[in-house]
Amino acid sequence: MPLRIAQTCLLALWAAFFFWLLSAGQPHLARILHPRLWWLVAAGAGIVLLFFFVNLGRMRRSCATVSLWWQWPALAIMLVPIAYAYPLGQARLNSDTFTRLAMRAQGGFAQGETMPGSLDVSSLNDPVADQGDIPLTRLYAKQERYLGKPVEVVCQLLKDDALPDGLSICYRFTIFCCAADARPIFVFLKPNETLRSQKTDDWLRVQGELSVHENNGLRTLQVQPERVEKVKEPSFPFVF
Amino acid sequence: MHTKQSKQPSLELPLYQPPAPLHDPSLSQQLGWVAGILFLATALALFLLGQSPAWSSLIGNLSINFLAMVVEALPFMLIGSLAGGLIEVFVPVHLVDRVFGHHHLRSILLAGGMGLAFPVCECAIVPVVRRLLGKGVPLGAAITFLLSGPIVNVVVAASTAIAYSYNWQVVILRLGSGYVIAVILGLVLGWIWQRGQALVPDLETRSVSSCGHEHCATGAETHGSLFGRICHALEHALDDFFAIAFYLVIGAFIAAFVRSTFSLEFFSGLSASPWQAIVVMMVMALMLNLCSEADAFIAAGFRGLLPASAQLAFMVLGPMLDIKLLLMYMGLFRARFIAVAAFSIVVTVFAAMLALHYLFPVSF
Repeated sequence: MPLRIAQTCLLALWAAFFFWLLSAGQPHLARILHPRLWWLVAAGAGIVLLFFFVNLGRMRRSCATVSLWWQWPALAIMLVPIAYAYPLGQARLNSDTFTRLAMRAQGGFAQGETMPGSLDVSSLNDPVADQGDIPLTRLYAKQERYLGKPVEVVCQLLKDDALPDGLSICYRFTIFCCAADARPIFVFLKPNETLRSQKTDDWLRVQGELSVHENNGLRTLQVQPERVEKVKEPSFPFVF
Repeated sequence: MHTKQSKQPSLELPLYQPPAPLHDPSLSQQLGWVAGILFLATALALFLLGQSPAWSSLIGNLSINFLAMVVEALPFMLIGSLAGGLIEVFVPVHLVDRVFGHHHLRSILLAGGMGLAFPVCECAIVPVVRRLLGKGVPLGAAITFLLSGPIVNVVVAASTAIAYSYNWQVVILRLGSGYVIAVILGLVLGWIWQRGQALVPDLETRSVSSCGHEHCATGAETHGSLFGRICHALEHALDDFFAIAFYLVIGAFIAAFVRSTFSLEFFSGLSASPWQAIVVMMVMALMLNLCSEADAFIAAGFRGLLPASAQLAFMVLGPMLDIKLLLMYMGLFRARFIAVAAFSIVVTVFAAMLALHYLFPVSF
């Protein structure tokens, strides 16, 4: 019976955790899972809730062959993810993550040529999509459309002394399923007075003309900043 | 082996099992208990370290990666547990016997393609295979489905096609090599190992006509109404969940730690020759623990940097074996079998990719 009670409590906690992620915890969920997979959390919540009632029902006729003493580590291990939701509140993928996940090349970083395929191709001809913040994935996917024109991007700043010509990096992370498959995507920012006062990992809105920076055969997009302002972190920090 | 003639209709459903008395745990269970405590202590220590500024960035990254993997994978595992429970109660033994029981080779060839009909990822497939083994599916066929299911399925084909800009050569090579390798391993491992030597005692002692369920089901539940049978299936699913889920948590934690500490550059810097590139990408697949629906996007990032064979090695090995799966397999197989199977998988994938590189050179 004690084992069944412990299992039931664990299921109740997991159901509550899933429901919390879907309601008040959505800002946390946005930092770990692609929105098109949020249904998984809803499905998980439903199944765990179902399991909770099933376990509650069989508590009365429990005849577990293993005692709680031998099972409690396994049950406690199931609590570890819930405990780690606490540091998640302050945790961010940042410039440290960028330098670990980006491919460093001579004179900078190499921008992978492949972007996740979840880009909404149907909206590419939408004239409204050319105004305001343009996702970096879109800039790369449709670069011929934006080259030589003013663009606006929202991204995080990375200052690195190893970069040539006083360039800075304006980066985001792109995901296909979840934060565990995050890949950096970036454009270079040409030197600008306003950028001097900004710090690495600050969120910026940058407006300026888009061009191509070529270095040792690496072709990367770059922006000549005309206007730079510090902004709050977007509710969806990833680009898709 | 049961034959159709020997079957009675009543044997098609799990029978009532008298309650087993509380038993002392085996040595492996005691070691597992100690390992569990050690894991908890490590997780707690890192959690506390994360409160200090010096460690907060690393532990922050760890918590993002860890929760991302668990929150994405656990629902798939729950769905897999449900599917396994339904299979246990609603799929009759004689059907399993008819499909898989009579012809060893045919059953393995069929199992290799079952993912096309049941598109399940590597987290969901473990509880499904657990139930199929309990139903009497031959070991070789179960291994084949376990290894090929997360690769040879339409969802993975679609994600691979998107990641490689609809280069269908990559899709065909990935699914084809996944199928062939899984069939080879299913044939070899199924031929060498007996069920009793390979499966955990819980599965080994379960006969094809009884569920071996630890709960005290009544006869009404097993032979009664549809509602009763659904309840029975749910109890099976629940037991599977508790038997496997904590392995997923441990695996995801280790994988998240690796992802939060090692850089991609560390791996790519080691790939001077084709065989070295294949080894490096295989190590990456083992350590990164990516979902088979997402790994193609990581592999595609190495286009132009690494040979096609190395990218394929990453996409074929990952869904078959990684840290998280290695631990989840402990809910199915004995440690010795897992060690042999893991070694066989690694060697077969490496040999296949090396052969592909030199005999059928492709580039993408």
